[in-house]
Amino acid sequence: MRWFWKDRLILFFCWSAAIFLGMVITVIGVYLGWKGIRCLNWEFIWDMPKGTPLGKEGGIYPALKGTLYLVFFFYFYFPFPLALITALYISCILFSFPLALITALYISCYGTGSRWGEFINLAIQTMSGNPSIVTGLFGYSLFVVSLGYGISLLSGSLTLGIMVFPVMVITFREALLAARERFMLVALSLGVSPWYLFRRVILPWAWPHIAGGTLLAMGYAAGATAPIMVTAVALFSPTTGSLREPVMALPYHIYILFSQHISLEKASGTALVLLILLLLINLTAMLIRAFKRDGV
Amino acid sequence: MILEIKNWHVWFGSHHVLKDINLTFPSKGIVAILGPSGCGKTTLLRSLNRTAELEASFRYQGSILFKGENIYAYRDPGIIRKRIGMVFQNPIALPLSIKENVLFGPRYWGMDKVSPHELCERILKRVGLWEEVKDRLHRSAQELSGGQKQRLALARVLALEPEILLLDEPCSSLDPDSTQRIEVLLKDLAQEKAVIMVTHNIDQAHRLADRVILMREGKVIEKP
Repeated sequence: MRWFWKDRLILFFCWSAAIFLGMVITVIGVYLGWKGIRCLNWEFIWDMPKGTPLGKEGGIYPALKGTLYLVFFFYFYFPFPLALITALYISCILFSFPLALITALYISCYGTGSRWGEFINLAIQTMSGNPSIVTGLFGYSLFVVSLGYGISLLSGSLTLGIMVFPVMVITFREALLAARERFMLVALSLGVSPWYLFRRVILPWAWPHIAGGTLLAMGYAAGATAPIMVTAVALFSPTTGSLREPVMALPYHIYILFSQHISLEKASGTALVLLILLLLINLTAMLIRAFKRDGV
Repeated sequence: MILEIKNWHVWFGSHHVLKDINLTFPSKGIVAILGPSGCGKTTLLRSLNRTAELEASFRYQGSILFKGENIYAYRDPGIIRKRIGMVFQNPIALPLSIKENVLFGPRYWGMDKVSPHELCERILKRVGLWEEVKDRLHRSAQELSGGQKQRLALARVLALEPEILLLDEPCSSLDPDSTQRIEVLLKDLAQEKAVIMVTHNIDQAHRLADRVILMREGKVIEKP
């Protein structure tokens, strides 16, 4: 009987936490909607920022474009079919996806139990807990100053790539480990090589998790402000898409509109657009994961 | 004798799992290994096709001779795993179609060149699964029942034409009907190759086996 009440108590706390979180998200959504819905129209999305100070009037087009450039970096720099495949299967960030997949493959399939594998695991865990501003400062030192890329789209994308790298590795590793535990012994007992097992069984089984994890990492990158503040963004930029030029980005635009008291309404509208963008990315990730099926 | 185990010891870390095992197995017939849980039956079986070494802490001493050759002398354990096939306790279907499950090994070893479909049909008929799945070969193998999955696991191994078949409690999670089907199949297979099976079921061992080996605490305590 005592266990029964303990179970109910735990259930109560779980539900309370879930309801509290739901309420917080709802309040943020309602608040942003109430404050920002008035300026949310096609003009706001497609227009350049105008007015004095800049951003008091006009729209957010370069900032929206800049965010998409930063996150879907690879997508815009390759011919369409490759870009489409890339967007679907590979990644928003050219630099982190392949590296993350190879790292996850190593620590989940080859380096399990080895000291080197343990060391990489520890490094990934430490990286994932790194404050984003520290990653930003690292990106600034390496890409902006040392490699001379300046404040630019390239520096920002690379820095975001570093930021989401551990998140991607952890997501991929979990998916690959689950597949490995289920199928490794059975498959390897047939004499096949670990690579054949990975190619024929583990990767096809784990890809919805990998694609979903990639999209979640993209969402994380799209919402990040600190790393791009010091590596990629400017108060105003037409965001031409040139790798070596600074860009505008939604999170930084919100920060400027709000912190400089330029327009709370425009800041809320921009935040609403960012929220919708993140929601779309996360929903796509959920749909991809739900699409997962075993076999054919 | 097709297989000979000489002074075989296995450790996982500091745990001495198998202690001085000496056994021989004929090239045909069924040998059953009986013993309480944790006595090392599965480790012995997995030692025979080199899947025990997939555990990082595996260490061994002694030798296992397959047709006179030490199986641990091979650099590629895959060659031994192909020739000494193993079916596990839990019926696990690979996340592929039924047909691709059967052809998973043959495709890797280049044995599907003649006619993959014929090979698939022949093997599925052998394990008595053909009539049940012939209309859904391209459907996911996950849709099969436990008994069907276990026969598919057997088909996956038999498709590689192993010379020895190892079975680790193949019927422990199956209903009586599926168990009977597997037993009939094993008796049939034992006409042409060596079948070594681990079981908890004494009745099953006596029903099927030509020879029973008893194990306890990592040692063979009785062998005929």
